[in-house]
Amino acid sequence: MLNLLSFDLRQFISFNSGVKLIIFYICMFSTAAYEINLTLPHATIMDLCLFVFGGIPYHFDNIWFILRWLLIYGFSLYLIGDALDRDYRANRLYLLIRINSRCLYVLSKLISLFVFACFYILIGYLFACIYGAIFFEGKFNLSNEFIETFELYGFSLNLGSIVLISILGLFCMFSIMLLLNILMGHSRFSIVYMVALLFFNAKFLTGLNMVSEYNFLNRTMGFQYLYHEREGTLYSLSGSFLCFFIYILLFSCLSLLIFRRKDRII
Amino acid sequence: MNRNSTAVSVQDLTKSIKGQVLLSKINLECQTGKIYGIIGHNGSGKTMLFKVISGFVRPSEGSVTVFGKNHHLDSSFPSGLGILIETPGFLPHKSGYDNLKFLSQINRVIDVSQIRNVLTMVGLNPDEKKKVRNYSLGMRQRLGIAQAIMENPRLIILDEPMNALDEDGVRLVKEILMKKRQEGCTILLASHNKEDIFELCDEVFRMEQGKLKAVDLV
Repeated sequence: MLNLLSFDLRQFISFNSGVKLIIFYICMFSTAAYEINLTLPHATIMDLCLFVFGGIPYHFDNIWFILRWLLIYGFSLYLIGDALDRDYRANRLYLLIRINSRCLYVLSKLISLFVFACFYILIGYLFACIYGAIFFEGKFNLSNEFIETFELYGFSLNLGSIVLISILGLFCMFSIMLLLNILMGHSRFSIVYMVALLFFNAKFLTGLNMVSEYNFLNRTMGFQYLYHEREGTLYSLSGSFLCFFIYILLFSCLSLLIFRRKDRII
Repeated sequence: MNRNSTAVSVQDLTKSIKGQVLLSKINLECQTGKIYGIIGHNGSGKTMLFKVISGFVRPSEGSVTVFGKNHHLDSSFPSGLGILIETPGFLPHKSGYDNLKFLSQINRVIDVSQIRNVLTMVGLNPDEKKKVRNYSLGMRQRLGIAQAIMENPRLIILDEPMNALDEDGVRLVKEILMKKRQEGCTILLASHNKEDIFELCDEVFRMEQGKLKAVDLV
């Protein structure tokens, strides 16, 4: 299992993808830091993290809010898409005859995708700390604007929970990506579907209703903070973790079932 | 290895997908230590037959046993199997040697010296640092053949192994297959090049529209 995992990780994490990721983060954080500096005089590292990964907007009609959120998650899909595609179409047979288990194959993909999600998010937060130290005097506290909102609902937000939510949210997306890849056998279509899903979610499903309550993307977006024109509400951390857990379990089981069935048919 | 025992037994195999019959009532017995060739046009069903024998595709009717075991009953794959069915993608940012090393680490049945040997056998330099993404089609094919034979499998299934190979490559592959046969390996080979097949194989079959017919070698 560990050897297969090591092979899979080498597919997802390479020098090339690392370079692309660094360039992408430099562009993302430079523009975000510039934008925050213009709007918040006492911005902190937490602001930058929320701004980039949580998609918390300062002006809710700002298109960059949606675009930035799409980019940060869309780019990770682009990075794993090629490797997933190559693996499913060209390496699957050679791995399967060696491991002799379809279940192990899917499990290894899921674990390596989780490790990649950790890698992607942690590098991002490292960038947030570097940019925060340079531009925002390295302060870790939230700015007053956000603290008031969170305190209003008795919610204490820490960096650890933000990182965990980002990782689990991204992993949820990767598990859908894996499922789509197995269903369609081609990652290009999977990426298009995923980006369309992200856009649809960001544009239309952020209101306070039953759909958004059980939508895991909303739990990633805005880090528990959901804005509405009249009222604001906060999701509980445990509720979000449960939501992620259920989705991940659902998508993983579906991936395995479909993979076992489809791979045996053709 | 026990010669003249049955390595692969295919009985009344039929495979149909969405009403289209891809393989029809196929019967095939392969003895150990022999090379079996299948010729046929593109889309005649050669690759599908190999996928069924390897355990990737479940037959609609009939049975397939490899070394006495029907792997379709428990969804497993035959042990001691080396395949080249589609050109592997490998890890494009690693060298050929690194790729084989990573693949071999999954089962750990061979060591690095054997990997170096097999790369030399197929005409690739084990010390070359060139990444697989910069390989020519012929080099990729050689690497694909190397991964199929490197763990000394009892059964080797090669679908169009001579594709994209130059004359030297074809000669090397023929030498390797002859050597493997001498070692008692059973080899199933598909090609649309009749000359290669007739030169190498003990028995030859023609696949036409999903039906397998024996070809007289005399």
